[in-house]
Amino acid sequence: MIDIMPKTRLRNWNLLSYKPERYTLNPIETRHQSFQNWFNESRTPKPITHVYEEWVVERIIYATMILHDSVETDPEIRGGVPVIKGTRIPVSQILAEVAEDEKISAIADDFNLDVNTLMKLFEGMAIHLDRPFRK
Amino acid sequence: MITYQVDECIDSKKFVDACNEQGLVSVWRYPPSLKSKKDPEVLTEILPSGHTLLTTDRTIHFEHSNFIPDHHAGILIIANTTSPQTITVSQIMRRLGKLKSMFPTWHTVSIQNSIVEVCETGVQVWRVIAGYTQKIKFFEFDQKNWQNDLTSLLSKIAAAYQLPHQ
Repeated sequence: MIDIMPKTRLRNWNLLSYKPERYTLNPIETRHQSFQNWFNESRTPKPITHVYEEWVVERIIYATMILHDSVETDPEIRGGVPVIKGTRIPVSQILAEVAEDEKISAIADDFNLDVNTLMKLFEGMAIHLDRPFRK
Repeated sequence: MITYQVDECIDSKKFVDACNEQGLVSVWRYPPSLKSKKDPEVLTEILPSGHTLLTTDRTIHFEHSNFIPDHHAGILIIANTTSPQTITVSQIMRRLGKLKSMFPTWHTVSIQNSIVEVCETGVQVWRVIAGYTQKIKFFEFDQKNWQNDLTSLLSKIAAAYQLPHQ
Protein backbone atom coordinates (compact mmCIF):
# COMPACT_ATOMS: atom_id res chain seq x y z
CA MET A 1 0.00 0.00 0.00
CA ILE A 2 2.86 2.35 0.82
CA ASP A 3 4.32 1.81 -2.59
CA ILE A 4 1.09 2.85 -4.27
CA MET A 5 0.81 6.19 -2.34
CA PRO A 6 2.17 9.13 -4.34
CA LYS A 7 5.39 10.65 -3.09
CA THR A 8 3.99 14.16 -2.63
CA ARG A 9 1.25 12.92 -0.39
CA LEU A 10 3.71 11.00 1.65
CA ARG A 11 5.83 14.11 1.99
CA ASN A 12 2.81 16.11 3.19
CA TRP A 13 1.91 13.49 5.67
CA ASN A 14 5.45 13.60 7.00
CA LEU A 15 5.28 17.39 7.38
CA LEU A 16 2.02 17.23 9.25
CA SER A 17 3.31 14.64 11.64
CA TYR A 18 6.50 16.58 12.28
CA LYS A 19 6.94 17.67 15.85
CA PRO A 20 9.89 19.91 16.73
CA GLU A 21 12.18 18.83 19.46
CA ARG A 22 11.29 20.42 22.73
CA TYR A 23 14.07 22.66 23.98
CA THR A 24 13.94 24.05 27.47
CA LEU A 25 15.96 27.07 28.55
CA ASN A 26 17.38 27.61 31.99
CA PRO A 27 16.00 30.73 33.83
CA ILE A 28 18.89 33.01 32.82
CA GLU A 29 18.69 31.93 29.22
CA THR A 30 14.89 32.42 29.25
CA ARG A 31 15.29 35.98 30.49
CA HIS A 32 17.88 36.70 27.88
CA GLN A 33 15.72 35.11 25.18
CA SER A 34 12.66 37.13 26.14
CA PHE A 35 14.70 40.35 26.07
CA GLN A 36 16.09 39.33 22.68
CA ASN A 37 12.58 38.67 21.38
CA TRP A 38 11.34 42.02 22.67
CA PHE A 39 14.36 43.80 21.20
CA ASN A 40 13.91 42.11 17.83
CA GLU A 41 10.19 42.81 17.80
CA SER A 42 10.67 46.46 18.61
CA ARG A 43 13.21 46.82 15.81
CA THR A 44 11.27 44.88 13.25
CA PRO A 45 9.39 47.20 10.89
CA LYS A 46 5.66 46.66 10.87
CA PRO A 47 4.67 47.19 7.28
CA ILE A 48 0.90 47.56 7.71
CA THR A 49 1.12 50.01 10.60
CA HIS A 50 3.82 51.95 8.77
CA VAL A 51 1.62 52.37 5.73
CA TYR A 52 -1.29 53.44 7.94
CA GLU A 53 0.84 56.04 9.72
CA GLU A 54 2.04 57.42 6.40
CA TRP A 55 -1.58 57.74 5.33
CA VAL A 56 -2.43 59.57 8.58
CA VAL A 57 0.50 61.95 8.10
CA GLU A 58 -0.53 62.62 4.50
CA ARG A 59 -4.07 63.39 5.67
CA ILE A 60 -2.81 65.74 8.39
CA ILE A 61 -0.73 67.60 5.81
CA TYR A 62 -3.73 67.81 3.48
CA ALA A 63 -6.00 69.00 6.32
CA THR A 64 -3.44 71.58 7.38
CA MET A 65 -3.26 72.89 3.82
CA ILE A 66 -7.04 73.18 3.63
CA LEU A 67 -7.27 74.82 7.05
CA HIS A 68 -4.49 77.21 6.06
CA ASP A 69 -6.75 78.46 3.25
CA SER A 70 -9.73 78.99 5.53
CA VAL A 71 -8.41 79.80 9.00
CA GLU A 72 -5.86 82.27 10.32
CA THR A 73 -4.45 83.16 13.71
CA ASP A 74 -2.97 86.53 14.47
CA PRO A 75 -2.35 87.84 17.98
CA GLU A 76 -3.57 91.22 16.79
CA ILE A 77 -6.93 89.87 15.58
CA ARG A 78 -9.32 88.87 18.35
CA GLY A 79 -6.38 88.28 20.66
CA GLY A 80 -5.08 85.32 18.62
CA VAL A 81 -8.30 83.30 18.54
CA PRO A 82 -8.49 81.35 15.24
CA VAL A 83 -10.69 83.30 12.85
CA ILE A 84 -12.08 82.71 9.36
CA LYS A 85 -9.41 83.91 6.95
CA GLY A 86 -9.79 87.56 5.99
CA THR A 87 -12.36 88.27 8.71
CA ARG A 88 -12.65 88.88 12.45
CA ILE A 89 -15.18 86.06 12.91
CA PRO A 90 -13.94 83.31 15.25
CA VAL A 91 -14.03 79.74 13.98
CA SER A 92 -15.56 78.74 17.31
CA GLN A 93 -18.52 81.01 16.63
CA ILE A 94 -19.16 79.37 13.26
CA LEU A 95 -19.04 75.94 14.90
CA ALA A 96 -21.39 77.14 17.64
CA GLU A 97 -23.78 78.51 15.03
CA VAL A 98 -23.81 75.12 13.28
CA ALA A 99 -24.36 73.44 16.65
CA GLU A 100 -27.46 75.63 16.98
CA ASP A 101 -28.86 74.03 13.82
CA GLU A 102 -27.87 76.81 11.43
CA LYS A 103 -27.12 75.82 7.84
CA ILE A 104 -23.67 76.64 6.47
CA SER A 105 -25.18 78.49 3.53
CA ALA A 106 -27.40 80.50 5.89
CA ILE A 107 -24.41 81.42 8.06
CA ALA A 108 -22.41 82.46 4.99
CA ASP A 109 -25.31 84.60 3.79
CA ASP A 110 -25.91 86.14 7.21
CA PHE A 111 -22.26 87.10 7.81
CA ASN A 112 -21.37 87.90 4.19
CA LEU A 113 -18.92 85.02 4.04
CA ASP A 114 -17.81 82.82 1.18
CA VAL A 115 -19.54 79.42 1.39
CA ASN A 116 -16.47 77.67 -0.05
CA THR A 117 -14.32 79.02 2.77
CA LEU A 118 -16.70 77.55 5.33
CA MET A 119 -16.86 74.26 3.41
CA LYS A 120 -13.06 74.11 3.42
CA LEU A 121 -13.04 74.76 7.16
CA PHE A 122 -15.37 71.84 7.84
CA GLU A 123 -13.60 69.54 5.41
CA GLY A 124 -10.22 70.38 6.93
CA MET A 125 -11.47 69.81 10.44
CA ALA A 126 -13.13 66.53 9.46
CA ILE A 127 -9.89 65.20 7.98
CA HIS A 128 -7.79 66.54 10.84
CA LEU A 129 -9.93 64.84 13.46
CA ASP A 130 -10.24 61.52 11.63
CA ARG A 131 -7.27 59.83 13.27
CA PRO A 132 -6.46 58.16 16.55
CA PHE A 133 -5.15 60.56 19.21
CA ARG A 134 -2.70 58.57 21.26
CA LYS A 135 0.50 59.14 23.16
CA MET B 1 -30.74 107.95 19.39
CA ILE B 2 -27.56 106.07 20.22
CA THR B 3 -25.70 104.56 17.29
CA TYR B 4 -24.00 101.20 17.65
CA GLN B 5 -21.35 99.96 15.29
CA VAL B 6 -21.16 96.17 15.26
CA ASP B 7 -17.86 94.33 15.16
CA GLU B 8 -17.44 91.82 12.35
CA CYS B 9 -18.23 88.93 14.71
CA ILE B 10 -21.75 90.31 15.22
CA ASP B 11 -22.12 91.56 11.68
CA SER B 12 -25.17 89.38 11.17
CA LYS B 13 -27.85 90.56 8.80
CA LYS B 14 -30.66 89.13 10.93
CA PHE B 15 -29.29 90.69 14.13
CA VAL B 16 -28.79 94.17 12.66
CA ASP B 17 -32.18 94.08 10.92
CA ALA B 18 -33.93 92.97 14.13
CA CYS B 19 -32.29 95.81 16.09
CA ASN B 20 -33.14 98.44 13.50
CA GLU B 21 -36.73 97.19 13.20
CA GLN B 22 -37.27 97.91 16.88
CA GLY B 23 -36.15 101.49 16.23
CA LEU B 24 -34.84 102.11 19.73
CA VAL B 25 -31.22 102.41 18.66
CA SER B 26 -29.49 102.69 15.34
CA VAL B 27 -27.22 99.78 14.48
CA TRP B 28 -24.67 99.99 11.69
CA ARG B 29 -23.21 97.02 9.91
CA TYR B 30 -19.47 96.45 9.88
CA PRO B 31 -17.83 98.65 7.25
CA PRO B 32 -16.24 96.65 4.39
CA SER B 33 -13.18 98.90 4.58
CA LEU B 34 -12.39 97.41 8.00
CA LYS B 35 -12.64 93.77 6.86
CA SER B 36 -9.84 91.64 8.33
CA LYS B 37 -8.37 94.66 10.10
CA LYS B 38 -6.49 94.12 13.31
CA ASP B 39 -7.87 95.03 16.75
CA PRO B 40 -5.87 98.29 17.13
CA GLU B 41 -6.97 99.49 13.68
CA VAL B 42 -10.62 98.68 14.46
CA LEU B 43 -10.44 100.56 17.76
CA THR B 44 -8.74 103.61 16.25
CA GLU B 45 -11.26 103.72 13.39
CA ILE B 46 -14.51 103.12 15.28
CA LEU B 47 -14.03 104.75 18.68
CA PRO B 48 -13.32 108.30 17.44
CA SER B 49 -16.33 108.09 15.08
CA GLY B 50 -18.72 108.59 18.02
CA HIS B 51 -20.41 105.21 17.59
CA THR B 52 -20.51 102.67 20.39
CA LEU B 53 -18.68 99.50 19.44
CA LEU B 54 -20.70 96.32 19.90
CA THR B 55 -18.54 93.21 20.07
CA THR B 56 -18.15 89.74 21.58
CA ASP B 57 -14.40 90.14 22.07
CA ARG B 58 -13.84 89.95 25.81
CA THR B 59 -10.13 90.70 25.64
CA ILE B 60 -10.07 93.74 23.37
CA HIS B 61 -9.97 96.25 26.24
CA PHE B 62 -7.20 94.39 28.05
CA GLU B 63 -4.89 93.62 25.19
CA HIS B 64 -5.26 96.89 23.32
CA SER B 65 -6.03 99.33 26.10
CA ASN B 66 -3.35 101.66 24.64
CA PHE B 67 -5.62 102.23 21.66
CA ILE B 68 -8.64 103.16 23.75
CA PRO B 69 -8.69 106.88 24.55
CA ASP B 70 -9.95 108.22 27.86
CA HIS B 71 -12.98 109.66 26.10
CA HIS B 72 -14.79 107.52 23.58
CA ALA B 73 -18.30 106.49 22.61
CA GLY B 74 -18.15 103.28 24.62
CA ILE B 75 -17.71 99.58 24.04
CA LEU B 76 -20.52 97.13 24.66
CA ILE B 77 -19.40 93.53 25.01
CA ILE B 78 -21.86 90.64 24.98
CA ALA B 79 -20.16 87.52 26.26
CA ASN B 80 -20.57 84.28 28.12
CA THR B 81 -18.59 84.43 31.34
CA THR B 82 -20.00 81.56 33.38
CA SER B 83 -21.33 79.10 30.83
CA PRO B 84 -18.82 77.22 28.68
CA GLN B 85 -20.77 77.71 25.45
CA THR B 86 -19.44 79.92 22.69
CA ILE B 87 -21.72 82.86 22.13
CA THR B 88 -23.81 82.92 18.97
CA VAL B 89 -25.98 85.54 17.32
CA SER B 90 -29.19 84.00 18.64
CA GLN B 91 -27.72 83.92 22.16
CA ILE B 92 -26.79 87.62 21.82
CA MET B 93 -30.35 88.41 20.77
CA ARG B 94 -31.75 86.46 23.72
CA ARG B 95 -29.31 88.17 26.11
CA LEU B 96 -30.22 91.63 24.89
CA GLY B 97 -33.92 90.73 25.00
CA LYS B 98 -33.53 89.67 28.62
CA LEU B 99 -31.66 92.88 29.41
CA LYS B 100 -34.36 95.00 27.77
CA SER B 101 -37.10 93.20 29.68
CA MET B 102 -35.36 93.93 32.98
CA PHE B 103 -34.22 97.41 32.01
CA PRO B 104 -36.73 98.85 29.51
CA THR B 105 -34.96 102.24 29.25
CA TRP B 106 -31.61 100.60 28.50
CA HIS B 107 -31.47 102.11 25.01
CA THR B 108 -31.44 105.67 26.41
CA VAL B 109 -28.41 105.09 28.63
CA SER B 110 -25.20 106.39 27.17
CA ILE B 111 -22.14 104.24 27.85
CA GLN B 112 -19.66 106.93 26.85
CA ASN B 113 -16.12 106.34 28.16
CA SER B 114 -17.20 103.00 29.65
CA ILE B 115 -16.72 99.43 28.63
CA VAL B 116 -19.85 97.50 29.52
CA GLU B 117 -19.89 93.73 29.48
CA VAL B 118 -23.28 92.06 29.51
CA CYS B 119 -22.95 88.50 30.75
CA GLU B 120 -25.39 85.83 31.92
CA THR B 121 -25.72 87.00 35.51
CA GLY B 122 -25.17 90.74 35.30
CA VAL B 123 -23.39 93.73 33.87
CA GLN B 124 -19.71 94.49 34.42
CA VAL B 125 -18.44 98.03 33.97
CA TRP B 126 -14.83 98.74 33.01
CA ARG B 127 -13.01 101.92 32.20
CA VAL B 128 -9.72 102.72 30.51
CA ILE B 129 -7.75 105.61 31.94
CA ALA B 130 -4.39 106.55 30.44
CA GLY B 131 -4.14 103.17 28.74
CA TYR B 132 -4.92 101.14 31.84
CA THR B 133 -8.09 99.10 32.18
CA GLN B 134 -9.88 99.45 35.48
CA LYS B 135 -12.61 97.20 36.78
CA ILE B 136 -15.27 99.51 38.15
CA LYS B 137 -18.30 97.53 39.32
CA PHE B 138 -20.39 94.43 38.68
CA PHE B 139 -24.16 94.77 38.79
CA GLU B 140 -25.96 91.48 39.38
CA PHE B 141 -29.37 91.04 37.82
CA ASP B 142 -30.63 89.70 41.18
CA GLN B 143 -29.51 92.85 42.95
CA LYS B 144 -32.23 95.32 43.91
CA ASN B 145 -32.37 98.55 41.89
CA TRP B 146 -29.32 97.65 39.84
CA GLN B 147 -30.75 99.57 36.88
CA ASN B 148 -30.65 102.91 38.72
CA ASP B 149 -27.20 102.24 40.16
CA LEU B 150 -25.87 101.33 36.73
CA THR B 151 -27.42 104.39 35.10
CA SER B 152 -25.94 106.76 37.69
CA LEU B 153 -22.50 105.15 37.44
CA LEU B 154 -22.49 105.29 33.63
CA SER B 155 -23.62 108.92 33.61
CA LYS B 156 -20.86 109.81 36.10
CA ILE B 157 -18.26 108.16 33.87
CA ALA B 158 -19.72 109.81 30.77
CA ALA B 159 -19.61 113.22 32.46
CA ALA B 160 -16.01 112.78 33.52
CA TYR B 161 -14.80 113.12 29.94
CA GLN B 162 -16.75 114.45 27.01
CA LEU B 163 -16.07 113.63 23.40
CA PRO B 164 -14.21 116.52 21.67
CA HIS B 165 -17.04 117.25 19.22
CA GLN B 166 -19.73 117.50 21.93
